[in-house]
Amino acid sequence: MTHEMAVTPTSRAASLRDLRRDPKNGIVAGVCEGIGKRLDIDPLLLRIVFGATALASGLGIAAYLLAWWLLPVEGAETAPVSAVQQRSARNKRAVLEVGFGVGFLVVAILLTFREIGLPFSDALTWPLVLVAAGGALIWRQSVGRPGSAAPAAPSAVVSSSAIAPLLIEDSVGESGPAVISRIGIGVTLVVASALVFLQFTGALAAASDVALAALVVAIALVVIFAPFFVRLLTSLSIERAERIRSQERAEVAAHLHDSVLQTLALMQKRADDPREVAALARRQERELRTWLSGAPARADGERWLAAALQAAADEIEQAHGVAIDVVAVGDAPLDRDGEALVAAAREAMLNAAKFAGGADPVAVYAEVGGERMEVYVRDRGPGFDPAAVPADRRGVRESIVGRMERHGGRAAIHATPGSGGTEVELVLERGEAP
Amino acid sequence: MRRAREIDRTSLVAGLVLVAFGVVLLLDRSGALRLTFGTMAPMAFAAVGAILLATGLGRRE
Repeated sequence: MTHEMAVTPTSRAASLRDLRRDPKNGIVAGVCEGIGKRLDIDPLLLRIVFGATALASGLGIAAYLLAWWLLPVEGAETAPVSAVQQRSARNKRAVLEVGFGVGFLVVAILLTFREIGLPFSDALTWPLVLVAAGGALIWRQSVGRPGSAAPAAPSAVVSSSAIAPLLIEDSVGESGPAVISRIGIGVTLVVASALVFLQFTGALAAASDVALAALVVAIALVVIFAPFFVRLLTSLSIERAERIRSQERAEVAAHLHDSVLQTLALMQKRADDPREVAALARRQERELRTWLSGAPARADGERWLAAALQAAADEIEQAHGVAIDVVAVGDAPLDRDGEALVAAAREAMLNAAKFAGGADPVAVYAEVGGERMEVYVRDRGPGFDPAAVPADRRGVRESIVGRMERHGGRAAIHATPGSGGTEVELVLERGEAP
Repeated sequence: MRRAREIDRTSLVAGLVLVAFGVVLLLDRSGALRLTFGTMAPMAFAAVGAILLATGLGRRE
């Protein structure tokens, strides 16, 4: 017989951030279909509203286009992608939105000036629009976000070292060519705005003579100094590559000394305890795999789900000598609710380690999706009857079920007394998609 | 006790823009303001620009 203790999830009202469009089932871009599905409204009604407002004043068309632009596609965020990929995609979208937003605002201001009769003309309007959009792109790319540099894996550092000096590294780990092309678009827009302004004011013809002279001098300077410049770039590139290799070698040596050699020494001392030796080897293997895979160390002090679960598993494994395998699909930073999820999972792991015996490893599986985080803790112990747990034993009732309930999640315990093992299911709905 | 949700900047700006549009349309209806394409166009551009800017800045971490 399977016993379940379940807690109803706290319902959360759909906010603007929860809205999605559903192009697969929609007619044009799936805006009405997606909004209707989320708000539980017949999409046909929304189509009628959009159509009527479009025919009456054209406002419906603008609103539909705006929703098309702003609403993410249904299901696009459920695919497990790394945090760096999510951040990169979000950054690309944000750059476009900021650029277009500034451009639209400048157009609005200039059209207002024109409407109230200030002496502005197209000679100033369109160059300013281009300058605003180009400047926004360059500004956003140049300022970046402090403290968000993603440390690269050792192999990535070495492989990129040869071309690193010629690339501008983005603060969120985007590739150099992408950053250069974005800055290039910004610079092109600013230069184009200057040319448009000169053309409108008639100064371009006069400026062309000066530009020609400057071009000739520039070509002469390039011919003279190009070999020196190329040699300087090459030597800088080689020097930087050697410096990176040297730092990398020192880092590998330090890591080997601090972790692998220390563990090997400890294993020699504990050679008479096979269980302890196995636990040490497992912990070292996990640490090495994490290091080699280049999982980013969260330098900003933010705790993430996978690392927090792994840390809890390590701690319990060390204290109780029971192997705990942690598998995480996707990852997310932890807020207060996420910390509660980890604490509940830790309690479940602790119970499994205490009561399930150490014959088989405890399995922890975590999955992070766009809408929820789920953690399952399974063991192959003798199982128990949750209903038969005494009232004064608060481990399961308060530390797992109660804790999840207080933080808007739910916990279910599937246990079969005898030999069926126990599975603790923890689900936390996410208020905001990443 | 659950903590209060953070303010969604995009929703806030979009709401304020809609309110502003409503006020302007009301003024036009009451005769206090005379809306033409020349006055509506900058407002539409400003509304879209403000929402896009708020959305883009809201994506920053």
